[in-house]
Amino acid sequence: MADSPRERTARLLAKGLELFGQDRIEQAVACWREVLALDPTHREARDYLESAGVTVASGDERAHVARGLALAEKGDAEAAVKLLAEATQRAPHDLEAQAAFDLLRALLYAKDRARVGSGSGRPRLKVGPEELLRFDLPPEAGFLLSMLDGRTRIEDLLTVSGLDAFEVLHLLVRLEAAGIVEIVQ
Amino acid sequence: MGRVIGIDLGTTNSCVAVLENGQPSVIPNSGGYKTTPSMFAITQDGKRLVGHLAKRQAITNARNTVFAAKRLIGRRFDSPEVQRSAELCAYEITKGANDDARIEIGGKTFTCPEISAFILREMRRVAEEYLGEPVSEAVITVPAYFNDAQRQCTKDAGKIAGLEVLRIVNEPTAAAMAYGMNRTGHEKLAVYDLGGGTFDISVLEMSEGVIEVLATAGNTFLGGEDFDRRIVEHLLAGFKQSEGIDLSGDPMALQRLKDAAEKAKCDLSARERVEVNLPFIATGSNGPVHLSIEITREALERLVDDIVRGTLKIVDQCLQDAGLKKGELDQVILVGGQTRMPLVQQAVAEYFGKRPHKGVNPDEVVAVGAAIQGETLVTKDENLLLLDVTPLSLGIATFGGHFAKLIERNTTVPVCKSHIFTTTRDNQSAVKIRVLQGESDVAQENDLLGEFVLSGIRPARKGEPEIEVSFDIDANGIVSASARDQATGKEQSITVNATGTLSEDEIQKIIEEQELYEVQLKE
Repeated sequence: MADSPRERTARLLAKGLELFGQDRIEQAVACWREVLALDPTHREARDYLESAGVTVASGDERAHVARGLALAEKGDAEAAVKLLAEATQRAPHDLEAQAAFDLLRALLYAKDRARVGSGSGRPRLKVGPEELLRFDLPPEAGFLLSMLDGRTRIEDLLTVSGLDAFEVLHLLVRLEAAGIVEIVQ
Repeated sequence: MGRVIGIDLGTTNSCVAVLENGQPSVIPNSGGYKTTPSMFAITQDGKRLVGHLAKRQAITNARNTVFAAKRLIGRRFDSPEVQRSAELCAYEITKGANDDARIEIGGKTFTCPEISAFILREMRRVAEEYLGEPVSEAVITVPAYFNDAQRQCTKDAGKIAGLEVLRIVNEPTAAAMAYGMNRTGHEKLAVYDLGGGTFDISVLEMSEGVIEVLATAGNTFLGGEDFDRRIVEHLLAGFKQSEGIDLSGDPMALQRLKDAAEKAKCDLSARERVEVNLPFIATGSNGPVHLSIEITREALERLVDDIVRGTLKIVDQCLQDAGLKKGELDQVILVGGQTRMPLVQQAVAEYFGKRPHKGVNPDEVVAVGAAIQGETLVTKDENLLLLDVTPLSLGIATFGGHFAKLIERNTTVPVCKSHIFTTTRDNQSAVKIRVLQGESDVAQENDLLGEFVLSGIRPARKGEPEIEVSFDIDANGIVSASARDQATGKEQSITVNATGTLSEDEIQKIIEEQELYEVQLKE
């Protein structure tokens, strides 16, 4: 007869402790992770993992990651990457969230690169200063816009902004989509 | 025969010029600018940036962006200038093997000549692109007060950049050369040089094409960037007052404020008021917040008045050194972009009682002078002979820690002076000599250029051997020494290894490393 979830959890916790006592840390961590997969809020498993030097996401963060992964599966990469970015910031050692986040970023980056072309295009402002103020933009966008002079290539912008290349390119693509920026090839 | 370029290797900006059909041309870079920021950076992904690209990310990537490396070149790590730079700069300054200052960025340690070489190489590239031919010879300018080590290191930098440095020229001398082209009269000039990071004042005498620096003084930590900083502080305070938001810890906002401050400062030289607009500078509780602050010329002048007045105190000192009164000067030449500011021009005019000369471009005049000097050297034009002076006294440490001056400061170079040394013990076979540059009577308060041991002295009673040591300062201001035992006529050649100067092997290794990087970049 199969274990009930409670029995299985208890068995995995005990097995993990036994392995931990034998200095087989990786296997012990795997057991306790399995417990968290069954019950993301399991306090004891979280404590054991932390005592093994593993930082784990809270229940809320796990839910965040799960929602992010679900959005990614549905093809809403934009919303997914936002949720996963928050989750990885809160729990930087959550490997699953980090892997999903990296993968999504890579996919979006490739998509953005395909959109802007070779990287030799020169972005410039398409709207006047007054019209610009009608938009609701974050400070990162203000910073990036201040660097556009119509002469600097996208490739150089990625380098000189000092910001994360993915963030810059993604922001640029969104600014172009919003009609704020145009890219002259 | 290739063309000789003149390079003004500045603390904040650099400029390159060449003589074309007898007329100087200042060469613009690919962005169309005639000056290039003297900045070098390594980005997070390992790319190396020079010039404008490095400047644009200077605040957001501050720890890996080198600026004002000229303040460090040829200086000992524990010198006050290096220690002050270490306090002001976000990049790390470390102690090198020769007690020199080195720079650590992007996980790599660079010597100061290497950093300057990145700038020089860029200036060479700009010139080659413009001229459409390879360039291998240059004249490079340095501040008149640069000592032997600083000059030697600048020469090393040229070598690393693939340039044969035909001459190291003092910046005020170069400015005077540009000013004095085709002039034949007898004049005394003051060159007031307020650049981005340094202030220098020099008094020169020109006569029939001969230029002599009579005295020089300055402050290596005073320049246009101090003006920018005051404007940034003004904007930060204004924004905090109006919006309740403190931007001083936000690198992106600070980068924008710095750029805007520099632009506003330049615009206010031509206009009475400017509006600084930085949209989306922050996010408040109700969404995006924009910065919009008006600055008037009057307000700017109030902000920087003490800095400008401070330069005039240094001018006082320089005139005193030259033994001249304000009224004895025939011309005042303004050098450096900051002298475009009306307040600076007005203060200088009031001080000297005459309007400064406006026939030369303050950003370009030094490079132009260097290009003229380059042409003079290759064509051996004796009509424009260059006569410089040594900015610091040269001497040796003597018993009791005193400093014995052998060549006084402001002595015209090239110069050679000899001194007789002897022994202090019977049968002493060697003597250690410490060569110093500076003005203090206490040896350790001066710059140590190097030390050497005179060996092979014939056995004799103390005080009997007579060893003549000659010190040479060449036209570049670079020191060398030689020794001769007067009794035997035996000569010894002595190399004075100044702080931070690189050996031939080290230079070669750096060149190879840079070439390897270029190849990797192309692949």
